[in-house]
Formats: sequence, C-alpha cells, structure tokens
Amino acid sequence: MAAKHVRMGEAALSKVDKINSEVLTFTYGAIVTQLIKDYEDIEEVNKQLENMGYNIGLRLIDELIAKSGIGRCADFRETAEVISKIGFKMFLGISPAIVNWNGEYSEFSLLIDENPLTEFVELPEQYRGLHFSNLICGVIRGAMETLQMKIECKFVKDQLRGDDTTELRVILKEIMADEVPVGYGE
Amino acid sequence: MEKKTLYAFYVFDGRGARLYSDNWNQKSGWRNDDEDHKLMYGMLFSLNSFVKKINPKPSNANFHHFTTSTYRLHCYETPTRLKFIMLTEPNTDDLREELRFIYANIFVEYVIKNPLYKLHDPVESEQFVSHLHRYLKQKFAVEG
Repeated sequence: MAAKHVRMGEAALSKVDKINSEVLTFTYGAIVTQLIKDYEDIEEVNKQLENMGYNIGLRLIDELIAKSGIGRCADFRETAEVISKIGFKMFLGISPAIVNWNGEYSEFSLLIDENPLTEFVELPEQYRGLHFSNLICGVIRGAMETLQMKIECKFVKDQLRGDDTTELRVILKEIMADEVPVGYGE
Repeated sequence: MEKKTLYAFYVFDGRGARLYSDNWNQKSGWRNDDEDHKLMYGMLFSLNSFVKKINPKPSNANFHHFTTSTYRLHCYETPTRLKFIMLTEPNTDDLREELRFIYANIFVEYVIKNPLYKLHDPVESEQFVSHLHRYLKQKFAVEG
C-alpha cells in the first residue's frame, strides 16, 4: 500500500509546475514577519497562520485529488499515508515519516526533518512561542474538513525551538455526516 | 463515431448549492431554477444514500448513471463531494471519464485555483465557461 502511494505522489509531483524554493521561503518569511508586525502578539500570529493555511487547504485538496487521481481512503491509516506520500510530496517535495500511532489509530505524528519553509530561519529569543510553519497545520485541517474529517493538528516539537525533531501531531476528532439538503427528511 | 446529444450539465457542491448549470434542447417543464435544482440535488442525495444502504459490502459506492426512455443521467462525485452531472440521450456510454476530466482539468484549474473565487458561490468565471464549452462541443452534439 505504501509503495502505491509513493508512486502516486511522485507521479503527481511530476505533473505540477515548480518554483524556486527561495521564492517560496522568502515569500513565506515575508508573510510571517508582516503578521508579527501587524499583530504584535505571537499567539495571534500562530492563529492567523493556521487560519490562512486552513483557507489554502480547502482548495488544495481538490488539486491533490485532480493531479494524483486518488479516491476516498479506506481508513485513517491510509489517510496518513496520503498526507505524507502525496500531499507533502506534491506541495513541499518531502515525505514526513508517520510515527506514534495511538491504539485506536485516530492519532499520529509526522516527523519533518527537512522543512523547506524554515531553511534559513533561526528563532530569536523573543519569538520563542512562534510556530513558524503553523500554516501547514491549517492546510491539513482545511483539506481534511473538505473530506468531512474534523481534525486537530499542531506542532508538538520544533527544531526551531531546540527540539531534536519537528513533530506534527494529527488528531482525528470526528467524521462528519453528509450534509442533508435543506427541507429534506423533515 | 457520431457525437451523442447533450441536454444539460450541472455542478453541485457537497452542501447542495448549484455552482454551475447549462442546458440545451430541453422541451419540458424543467425551469432550471432554484426550485428545480433543489429537486435534482435531493433526488441525487436520496439515490446515493439508498445505493449505499443496500450495498452488500461496506464501502463508499456511488451510483454512476440511470436511464429512462428519453435520457440518461450521469453523475460523478469527487471525494470532496463535488457532483458533476450530465444529461444525455439514453444510449450514451458511461461518462465518468469525461466528467472527471472536466473536474480535474477545467473546474480545479479555472475555478478552485482562482484565489478570488469564493468557495460554494455560483461560478461566473469566463475562463471556466469557455474551456468547458470548447470541451463539450468537441465531445458532444450541443445545439440550440
């Protein structure tokens, strides 16, 4: 199963246009610094980044499906594979390792050892609380919500903050039911 | 191969909002207004939940088309719950490939990826409409 997703991810990556990675890191860096200037509160910056990511994720998921040709996942374990092997691969060129499943297979972690967004970043002391790449959490949440999965996603470890790895925790909260059309079944 | 006649094309989102519709050669009481779209979405919704309910194996099976003596309705639903629908003459082959093509190569490209398009709103993009019409004319007989 994993090999299939690796292939699909690589095929999808070959179909999309690429940009220079510095353009991405500098643009993203400019957004983060502007948010810090505008909000002057690191927690609020984290929230705004997540929110921006969410709005991106709502759309990005259709691009992923269109380019990769993947159908609905059989279970959340497959979802994790698709996020790492197709999603991250297509849009950031990396495939984070999937680790630390909980017993019910509703929570897992993604280990990101090379994060293109933080290639040139060093966190100064006063920004310790900043989740620099929090946009990614939002993207995953938005994408999953379009697929009717309510999830929570957050950074639990971050190399920028001195941890040994960068770990993203993804928690499945709820699978949402089909929305019933207005005036139906009453 | 002779082109089949296309009567109508619709896109709905997962909430039942009509994002786009087009119709040709229709001579019935179908007014193609909000009321009619609600009826159609309700019918597709019921049909899909029924199809799932009687499914002998648990899975996300959707129906693909149904046929009457005068037309065939084709439906392709994406994992993101967008529904692409076509009404054609009855003896038309399965059109899931064509509907998927429209989703992946026209709808995602010119609608979803446009940052200024507000999700769930009706589609007004000229680019989308012109690419869609070019594709439909190439594949189907579209008159009137």
